[in-house]
Amino acid sequence: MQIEVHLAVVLAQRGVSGRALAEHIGITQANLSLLRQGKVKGVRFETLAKICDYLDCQPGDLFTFRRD
Amino acid sequence: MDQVNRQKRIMWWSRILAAATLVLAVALPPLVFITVLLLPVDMLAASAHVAPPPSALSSGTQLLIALVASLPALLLSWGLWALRPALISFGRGACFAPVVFGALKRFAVALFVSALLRVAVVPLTGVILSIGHEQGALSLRFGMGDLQTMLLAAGVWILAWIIVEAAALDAENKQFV
Repeated sequence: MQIEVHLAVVLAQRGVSGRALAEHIGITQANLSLLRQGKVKGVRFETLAKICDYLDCQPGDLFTFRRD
Repeated sequence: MDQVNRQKRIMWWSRILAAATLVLAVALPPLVFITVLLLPVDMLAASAHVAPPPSALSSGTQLLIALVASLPALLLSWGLWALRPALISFGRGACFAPVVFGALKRFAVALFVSALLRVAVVPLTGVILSIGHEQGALSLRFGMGDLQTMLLAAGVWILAWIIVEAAALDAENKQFV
């Protein structure tokens, strides 16, 4: 079981750069890169809300749950 | 108080404490040694809870008493010195650095053993004061101060364990974005 992160896809669909998003939500580009690769343990609601606000999307657009 | 101010306060006071521990660690043993060395014999006897010796003490005996009496201070000085890396780390804002656990643990050990040594120094002083005299004297006392120091040492030791737990939480928290 794992959570798949589709942030890279949503960023591409919106034509937004990772750098712009990182600046908007106040995290480092390195951390955003880790999030895009799904290599983080979790996402704070505060961060998630800022991402959704900036990309005008819902949390469900960013993540899906996959059963192995 | 917000997190930034709280961290600033921790850093500020830790730097002050690091400087104070440095001064204390360096000054404490010689201060205790000189104080005991210059103490009149009747006061030495009173502090050891024994009767004053009938004749004056030789300089060797006085030196030996001063050395024995300095042992707890010497150990406490080592403990304060060992605590400094933790305070320096707090001063830099790194509250959960790996160095903190070891530093707190060493300080706790030094506190505990120095309190035990303080208890032992009193009868030892009495024995030394009795050397060469017909009548010997021995007095052993365990006061609230010693007990409080040992409890404080135990508390610092537990705090060291808590710091390890906190460090693990901090490391996990850093994996959240």
